[in-house]
Amino acid sequence: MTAAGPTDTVGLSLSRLADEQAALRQIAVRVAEGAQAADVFVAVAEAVVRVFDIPTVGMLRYERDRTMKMVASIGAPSFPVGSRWSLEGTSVSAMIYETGLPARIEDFSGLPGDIAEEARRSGFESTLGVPIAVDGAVWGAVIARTVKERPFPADVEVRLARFTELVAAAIANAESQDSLRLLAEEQAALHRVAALVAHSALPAEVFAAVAEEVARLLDLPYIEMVRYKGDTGVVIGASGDHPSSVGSVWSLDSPSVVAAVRRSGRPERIDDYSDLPGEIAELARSAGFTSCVGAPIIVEGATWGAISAANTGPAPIADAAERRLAAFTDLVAAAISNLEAREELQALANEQAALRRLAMHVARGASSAEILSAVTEEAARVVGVEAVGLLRFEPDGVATLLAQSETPWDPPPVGTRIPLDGENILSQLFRTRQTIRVDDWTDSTGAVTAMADSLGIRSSVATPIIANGQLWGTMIAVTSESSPLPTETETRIAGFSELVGTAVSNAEFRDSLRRLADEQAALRRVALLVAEGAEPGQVFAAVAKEAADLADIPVVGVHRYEGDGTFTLVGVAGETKFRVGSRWSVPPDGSFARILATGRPARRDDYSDEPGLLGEAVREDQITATVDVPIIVDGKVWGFIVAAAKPGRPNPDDVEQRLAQFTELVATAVSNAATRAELIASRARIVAAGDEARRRIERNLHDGTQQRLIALGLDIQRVRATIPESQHDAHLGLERVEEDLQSVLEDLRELSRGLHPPLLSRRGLNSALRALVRDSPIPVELEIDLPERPSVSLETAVYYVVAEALTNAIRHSQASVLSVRIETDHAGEPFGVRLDGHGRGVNLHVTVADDGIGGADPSAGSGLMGLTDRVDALGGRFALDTPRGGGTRISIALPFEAR
Amino acid sequence: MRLRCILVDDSREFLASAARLLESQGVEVVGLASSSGDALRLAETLRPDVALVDIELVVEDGIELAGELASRVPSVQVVLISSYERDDLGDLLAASPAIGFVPKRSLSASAIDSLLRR
Repeated sequence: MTAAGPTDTVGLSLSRLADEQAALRQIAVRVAEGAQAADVFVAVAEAVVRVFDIPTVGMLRYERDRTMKMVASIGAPSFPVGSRWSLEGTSVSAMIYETGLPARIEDFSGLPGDIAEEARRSGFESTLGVPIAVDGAVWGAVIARTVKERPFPADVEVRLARFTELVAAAIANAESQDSLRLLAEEQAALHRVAALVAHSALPAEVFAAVAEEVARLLDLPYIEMVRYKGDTGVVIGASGDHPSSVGSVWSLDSPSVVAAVRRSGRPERIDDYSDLPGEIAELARSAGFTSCVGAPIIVEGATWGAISAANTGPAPIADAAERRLAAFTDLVAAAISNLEAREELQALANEQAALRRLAMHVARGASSAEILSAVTEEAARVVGVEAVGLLRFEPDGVATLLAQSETPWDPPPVGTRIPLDGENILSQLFRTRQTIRVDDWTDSTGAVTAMADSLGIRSSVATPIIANGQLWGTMIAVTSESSPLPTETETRIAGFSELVGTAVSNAEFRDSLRRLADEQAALRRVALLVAEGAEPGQVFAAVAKEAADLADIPVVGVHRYEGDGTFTLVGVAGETKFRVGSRWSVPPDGSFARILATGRPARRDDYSDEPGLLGEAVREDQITATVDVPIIVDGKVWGFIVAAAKPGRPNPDDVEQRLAQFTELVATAVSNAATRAELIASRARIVAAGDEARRRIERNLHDGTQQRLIALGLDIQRVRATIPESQHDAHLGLERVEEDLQSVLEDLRELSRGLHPPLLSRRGLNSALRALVRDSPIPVELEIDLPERPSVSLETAVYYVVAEALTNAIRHSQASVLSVRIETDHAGEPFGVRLDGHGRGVNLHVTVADDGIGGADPSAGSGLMGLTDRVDALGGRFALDTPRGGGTRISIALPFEAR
Repeated sequence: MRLRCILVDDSREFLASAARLLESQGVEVVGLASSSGDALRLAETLRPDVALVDIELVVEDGIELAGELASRVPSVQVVLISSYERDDLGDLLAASPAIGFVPKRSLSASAIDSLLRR
């Protein structure tokens, strides 16, 4: 529509000028009010439409890469706001961009380029444009279009150019205000995130805040944070509906922003996923990502990870996005550094404290055992693992467990020797001298593996302990939990391994370690004996020998105090004339007396004037000095161990400590044996009580009931005699009564015999057994050869044993002859040193044999079971030899006690 | 001439009944003793024909008493008696100077007679 206004040129000009001024003023006001740049652009375009009466007006801004972006568009729906166009080809915007001067095109046919094509399609005819210059550079352009029916006014370029100049400032202002605003927002956002970091927020919290701010500021809703691990990226944060899930691992071979950032260490972007291969690109496509930017997280100079942000809109992400994202990634990097630094510091502090504590142990003169134990405990605590063990490699292909921290399971005892056979963490470490980690023992073999399996060990890390340049041993951290030991375990344990290595390099420590190992081995050998229930004499002898060997003591003796001022030597080792079994009286003021009085070790350094037999014997043995260490049983001095020194071989300073553990073992052995003896004695008492009860019952029956019944029988006889023969009924009646009576008497006699054989107590085994076998259906050869009559309980036991054995044989053996032999062993088979001190014991032997079918079963309801109980109760031994078809032989040995 | 005998046993009931029975069967029971000492005194004083001696005297041994009687008062024939049967006694009897053994329950004048007649 052409303006119908004043016709004179000046008037026209003035009114146009007024319009322009008014429009400009409006725009200026808008800018001053702080309108967004976009609004200002629109306002300008509208002003141009109105003032210049042009139907189609657009404003564009030149972007990088020879493109332009529409920032305002009125009347041209094919060039909407935000659309981006390449400046290749011929177009008004391209001409302005190149020349910085207004340009005009009347006819787009045949012109190259996207814009020209679109113009043709939209039927554009006249198009003209003027540049918008800001700070001397071509910032953008205003484009006007019209159709043939409404040609441009004559001087439209000039006027438009002048208008645009005036507007340029406003535009620049608006833009810079926008920039400022954006900047301010960005600063505020960074500030907020920085505050989190300053307050030591965890990286996860910081990332969440970053995701929120970036989503808002950059309008990029799909944010993820990735940590690089080898050739992969692990997603450690994802906002909103990001298709990646936290914890997922992606290969960096696949093209992605994250992979690109890793490679370059700088911000990167991808604006088109349509042709990219790989799963990440596919994921991006399926999520509808059109554009994605990423910035690296640099921690301590290394590319630790990256943050990427993507959108799904049509337009690619703004240029500055990478830079602005980078500002946020810096903050995240700071948070991570902080955290790691804090953790590192904490770990360091813990380690320092642990090492300080250990140093104190050493300074206090702690024994090597204490130090090693302390090291493993500290290591376990500081490193935060379930258990730590310390092993030394022995020359014979074995590792000895020297110390271990408190474990949640039942561990092998310290001193255990483990062969290094097979393929496992220890054998590998032994071979390579390197730190080894094994998180899965499935393919491991060897004794170590068997032990690990039985303890339920899953993940383990072993570090070498190097002392004096040699591989000395290893410190191994283990866990039975399913997740593997953290990656820092190797480095953390290393500190402690070094400590041990250093300590071991120190010769003194090494010596004490060796002594410790030897001591452990010696104690274990003795402890095994005790545990197996070996005879005390054996234990005493073993203790003397081990102690002498271990501490290099010339003579070691184990003594039992008899309670009456004398002691007996019960175990001895070394070059000495003292004999086991010899008995000595306690010198009233000697070291023995002191021990008895105080229960504490005593030393004696001079025997030159020791009186009596003891003094003579000591001097003859060339013993110069002694150290006596008491053996305490049940809180009382049971005896003591003596370490005797000879010329040139003095007792070591720490002999009391070294003997102390042996004295404990002796005490245990003695307690055990006493308990056993008590047990046997009490069982014997029970058996004896039973026998006694039976004897009493039998006695009562005999003396009381039987006598009365017999008397009764005699009375009846007498009475019957007074009744006349003619009174048949009376006679018969009484006869029956008499018969009944005899029957009762017979029953009683049977009962009595079962309770206690009448002849046994009176006449002894010979008579009783001969009476027993007189009526035997199988002939019995009886041979009894005893020096004196055995004690009541023994005699009873032998009688019942023989009776039971014979009964069994008669019932089952189908033999033709039975033999019974009872004798003692005068040869004196050693019975060991008895605790009651009554010297050597003699055994009574009972042998019952037959030539029958054999195959006797000692269980299953046969009387043999009760027989063995009796034998056990008296502390005897029972042997059954019964081959099928080869007869049966029962042999019993019982400790002999005379009456 | 009635047989004169003494009974040696530590059961009062038995002594009473045995004495009554033997008396009723024509034996003259001239004395009762419960201990070796009493038995020997009676034997020496009364000079019975026969002494019935319980093997199981509680304090002293009947077998031993039999031996002592045989040596100190040889005119007295000793018959051992017991609540136990012969089988229970084994070879105890064989070595004794007693002329024989009668289980208490079978005690009677004729049993003693038959032993004496042997």
